[in-house]
Amino acid sequence: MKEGKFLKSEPKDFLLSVIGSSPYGIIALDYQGKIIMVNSLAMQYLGIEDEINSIADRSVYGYIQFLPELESILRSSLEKQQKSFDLELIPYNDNFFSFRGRLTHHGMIITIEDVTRLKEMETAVLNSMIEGQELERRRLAKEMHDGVGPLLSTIKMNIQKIESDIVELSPPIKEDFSAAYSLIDTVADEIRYISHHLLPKVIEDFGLSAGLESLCKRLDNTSKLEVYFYSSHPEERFDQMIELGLYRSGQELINNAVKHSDAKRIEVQLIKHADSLVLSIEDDGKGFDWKMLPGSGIGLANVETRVASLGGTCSIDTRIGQGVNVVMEIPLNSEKYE
Amino acid sequence: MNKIKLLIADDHRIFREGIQALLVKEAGIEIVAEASSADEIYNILESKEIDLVLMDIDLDGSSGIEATRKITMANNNIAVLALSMHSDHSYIMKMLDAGAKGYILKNTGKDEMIAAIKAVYNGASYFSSDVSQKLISQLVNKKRSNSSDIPLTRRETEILRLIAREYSNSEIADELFISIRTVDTHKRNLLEKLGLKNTAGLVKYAIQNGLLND
Repeated sequence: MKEGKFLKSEPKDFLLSVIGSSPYGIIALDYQGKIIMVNSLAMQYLGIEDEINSIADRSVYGYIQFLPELESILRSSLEKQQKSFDLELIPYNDNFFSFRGRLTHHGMIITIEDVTRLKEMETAVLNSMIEGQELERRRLAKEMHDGVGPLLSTIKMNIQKIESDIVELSPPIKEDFSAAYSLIDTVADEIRYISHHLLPKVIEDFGLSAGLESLCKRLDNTSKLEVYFYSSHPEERFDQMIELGLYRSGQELINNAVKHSDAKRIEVQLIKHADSLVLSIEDDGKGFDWKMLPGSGIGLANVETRVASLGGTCSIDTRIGQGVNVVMEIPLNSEKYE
Repeated sequence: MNKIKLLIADDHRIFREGIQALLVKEAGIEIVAEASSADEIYNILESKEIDLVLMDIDLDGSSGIEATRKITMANNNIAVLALSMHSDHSYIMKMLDAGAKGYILKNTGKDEMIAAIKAVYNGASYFSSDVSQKLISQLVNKKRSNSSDIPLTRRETEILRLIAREYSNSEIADELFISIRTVDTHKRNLLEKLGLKNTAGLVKYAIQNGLLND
């Protein structure tokens, strides 16, 4: 048999050619983290420009210092001889990668997969779903705010006119008029409240910073909680979907903190970097344990979906007694998922 | 006494008619014209003498804020009184910034509307009670945030303190039970907030602000 013979006579070459033409990046390491073998795709993914033969026996840590999560999990896996690790969707060099490590007899083998396309497709699908939802909400909010609202104001004015046209008004009838006015006011407030929840108009008109600030101020004034807001670029406008997505995520998280955390202080920050936008929400409340989360974990899942639909990342750090710390980061070079 | 010559600017015809009906018998006020868009307002102001514009923020295809700015920049003798559904402080501040002399909400009753028109016409300011509440809280908040330049959050202070003690990102992550990526983001946020370039700058800032002392 040709193949058998081939394998027998040139096992190393055969192995190298399989690894070389694999659609994954592959690196084999010993227990000290020294590179035993690597294929060219792995070098390309990691941005290693050295000659492929010259990097054997070198420490892998010299090449992954810009991937702190990989470095950290790899060190601890090799130290504790953990069987395996999976790191999904790690952003690096404008792409997304998944890293998988498996323990071997000699150390560890790591495969690297470029999942940028998958991530982009997922983002596009989520994005269009949420966009459709937002458009529908906007339509409803507009109809209520611009249609029903002014009609109510007009009804009130008409009744006021009737009242002033009546020459003599007995006190009970005057009271009936007042009752009618306050009912109209209640309905108008209700309409405004609903339409604001569907689409906060202040975001459309003045942007994300103004929207978040107004949300924080309202809470700061109406509850015992202290709610602090900081924006590095208060006047700056961003893509509409980013503004709405981050606003709704922030709203969800702030509501969670108000309802469940027993926090005294919530800190909300919107900070613009050169090519990304970061929204962070921190509280000093009781925190939670992921395993103990009841159905209310749905809110957090919604936030993660929204952030994913914008091509961003979301990390939620919490521990019993240590508050909740959420950081969402959205890339601003948005051509990728449009 | 001269009647106050009023222009009603609102994108809803039915609402303009409502105001007409409400104010038509009011002795001191004469409704001279109506407009639904900024351009209509400008045209009317060219041909007619107007004392006061009752201005909605949402106009047809344009913003009442811009229209207010344009009117008050060009004419000292035309006063603008905002009449809006919006009670959010952003709208109030922008409208005042644009030159409006007063701000009342659309749920305002007839008597208050007339009082506001007269006050603004006479050079005073007028705000509905909801609106003045918003203005006051805005002032109070301003004062509070001025006292300490850019306050750092609890987490940021913790991280800055650890950076100054030469902890690496992964050591900080272990210490605070957060992920390395979160540490990195906080670090970049700190650089952006404080206008610093690198970790050395952060260390210097921490020392200068006494973060290592306690």
